[in-house]
Amino acid sequence: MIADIGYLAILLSLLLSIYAIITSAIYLKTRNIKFFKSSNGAVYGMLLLTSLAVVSLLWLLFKGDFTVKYVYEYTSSDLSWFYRLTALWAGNDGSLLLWLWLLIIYTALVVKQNKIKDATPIATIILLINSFFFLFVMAFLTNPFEKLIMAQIEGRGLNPMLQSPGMIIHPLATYLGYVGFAVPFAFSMAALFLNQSDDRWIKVTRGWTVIAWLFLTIGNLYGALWAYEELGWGGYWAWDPVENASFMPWLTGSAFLHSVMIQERKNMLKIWNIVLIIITYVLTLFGTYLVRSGILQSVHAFGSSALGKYFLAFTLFVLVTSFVLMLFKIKLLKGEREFESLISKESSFLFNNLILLGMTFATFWGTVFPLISEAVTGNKITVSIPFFNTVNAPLGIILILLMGICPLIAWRKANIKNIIENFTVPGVLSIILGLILYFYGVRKLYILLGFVVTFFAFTATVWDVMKGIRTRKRITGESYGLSFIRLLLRNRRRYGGYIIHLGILMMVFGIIGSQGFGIVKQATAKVGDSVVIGSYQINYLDLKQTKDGKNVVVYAELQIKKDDRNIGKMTPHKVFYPTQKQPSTEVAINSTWIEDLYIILAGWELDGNATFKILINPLVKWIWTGGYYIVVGTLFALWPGRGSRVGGKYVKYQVNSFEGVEKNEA
Amino acid sequence: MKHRKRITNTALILLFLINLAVVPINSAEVSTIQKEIEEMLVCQDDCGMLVSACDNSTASYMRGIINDQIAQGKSKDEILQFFVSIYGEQVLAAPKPRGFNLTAYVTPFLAVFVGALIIYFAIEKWVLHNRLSNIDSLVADKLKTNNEQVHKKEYEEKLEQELKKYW
Repeated sequence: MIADIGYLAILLSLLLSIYAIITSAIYLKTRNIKFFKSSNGAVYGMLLLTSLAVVSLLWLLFKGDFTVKYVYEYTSSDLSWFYRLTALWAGNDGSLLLWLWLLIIYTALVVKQNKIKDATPIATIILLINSFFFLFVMAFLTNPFEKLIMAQIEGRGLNPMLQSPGMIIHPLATYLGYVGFAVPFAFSMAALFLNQSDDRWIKVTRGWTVIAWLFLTIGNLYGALWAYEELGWGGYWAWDPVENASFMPWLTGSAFLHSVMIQERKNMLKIWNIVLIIITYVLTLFGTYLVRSGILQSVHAFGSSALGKYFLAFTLFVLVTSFVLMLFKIKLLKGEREFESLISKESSFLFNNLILLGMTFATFWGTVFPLISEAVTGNKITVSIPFFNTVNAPLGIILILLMGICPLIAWRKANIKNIIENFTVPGVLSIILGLILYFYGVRKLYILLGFVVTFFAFTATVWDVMKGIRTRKRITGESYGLSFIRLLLRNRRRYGGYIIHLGILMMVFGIIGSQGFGIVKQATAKVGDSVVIGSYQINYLDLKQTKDGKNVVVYAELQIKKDDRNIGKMTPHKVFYPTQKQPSTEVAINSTWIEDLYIILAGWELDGNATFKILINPLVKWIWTGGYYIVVGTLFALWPGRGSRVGGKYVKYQVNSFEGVEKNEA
Repeated sequence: MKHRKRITNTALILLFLINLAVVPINSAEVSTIQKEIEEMLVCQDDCGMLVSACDNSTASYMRGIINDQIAQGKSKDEILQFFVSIYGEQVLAAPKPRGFNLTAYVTPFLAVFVGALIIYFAIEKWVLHNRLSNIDSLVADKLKTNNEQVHKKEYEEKLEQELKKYW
């Protein structure tokens, strides 16, 4: 009954999406407000119906109704109620429903806000076409409410790896990010339809873009955290095709966020910004295609399914139609070409975009290269971590260098005085650090360069803030503390960006440390034995068994000493689930700012001998902390009110759609 | 019922123990060369993970072979080649940069290089365009000023002549 209601809600929502598209189109043709209102009503109706579908599936999961295929495949009666609910996005059908629901929530918000009166109906149509596709897929290809021919008394259970708090935040945040980019994409297309060449669509969707980017950042970060804590292999990023699929729109989204600043300030790069938002949105669709096509092997994929070709077709449809529309309107998008110097903030932003796009291309190329190579040579090859590190490390170093340069270099034209003033101290300090590291034995080129460049970007950012404080103090006579607080608050957009940069630098610091200085040890020990790794002494006290609900937990009790100082016990364990063939590995981690002690219980024998894989992963904590900085920086920059607006325009004359021509003071 | 569950649980644990493959007997820090080789090979159990990261029996078996071959004094390249001869090139975590696979490594950098050139020349062109338009506007301003001065002079002369007629 509930399953029938859920499916019916999807069918009705599909019909409403068609109705809303048609009425919006009629409104655009006739400008009869009745059709506009009717279309909006249909969108709200879709929101109600898809919410009903989501609630229905959640209810079925919660109740453990094993007559429904999805419930049978992803839950079991021993699963806690919490993970039964999170099973909503554990499988293909449920995750598509979640995607659709988020898309319709966003569409309803766009309709409700109605920020650009003439563009909103077109943007709504574009969002509805996306919704229609997802509804069609669910109604006719992969119904989350499909019933089993024979009802089962027990389900297959949820993959143990998905029974983790990280798996709650990671998929939700990633989907919120993916779907969020649909809104700026829709408004950019609407602006093209309406021949609007100004930056209103950018201003209106800036909040959407930044929030989508933030969610995608959180999604990627929690994905990495989940891999680190749950997959039990000691790493956090494997350059898996699906990881790459969410990393690529993050890169292009970052490029877009930077390049729109040029359009806002100088009326330039209009075509480029449209290209970037198209690529970003198409990459989010490409990600869903990768996850569902089974074309590439991935631990995150939902397996091979016929859905792949539909997603590929839709992705190509969006890509081709958007680019065709852009090409038709290319004359409209010719912006100003006011570059006064090769060395300026504008040009540094362009190079920053180039590197971000270069990394996107390198990641995309590596992801699809096994298919290309097999098609050309006939040989199967693997493209994994070493390849991505090889191509992305040098580009990453250049990007971090630009991260230090971009914010400090002047708009329009940087002169020698400006460059010396801003970069002498950070440059000299970074060279000194490089020499110190070299003499302390850091000889790997990328590691050394990575640390030096990260430190340069850090000191350059701090130096700029200090300069701002000094100037403010000189003008206002305020104390240093007050100058610092007011400087940040009066220009939150800029300094929020700086906080985000600091977060990224912390992450890079952690990545370099963990990649460059890790230690691994494999040890088989008897109860009472000690294992030494780095400055740690690990005493194997006992091997025990306990129960967690219906699951059996086998764990090793370890006493840890660091430099002869007792730091406590650690208990790496394995969990045996009645419904799963393989146990899950639960690692034990002792995390500090210097390093993580990471212990995996690899196996044991009947006499109590146990095998451990022990890793020392330096600086990993900085990666997660950097992520929190990014969240704080984004919210700081985005929070409405004074200080969150864009700075002055740097153009001679600005043509404003509403206010005519006005002279701008640079 | 409880008894049956206990048997099932014990059986599960035993099954897992049977699945455990060769494990190192002694405590040993993984040497740099062993770590490097493990990070260059993919476990051939369809898990898609690197040998260094994978915990399944195939990866353990591969680690054992690497360990043995290092002990026999074989070089990194020889050990990698040994695995390629057994599993084919797909055992390598990254293709060797030769033949068609060289394009995997070259293309991204080539794309960035071409992009950098395009940006460089575009900015140069825009800077030049900007300077030229600045010069044009300066010249136009100068001409305008000159014209105004000529007109003013002509006007003053004419005014003087007219005034002379009446005074």
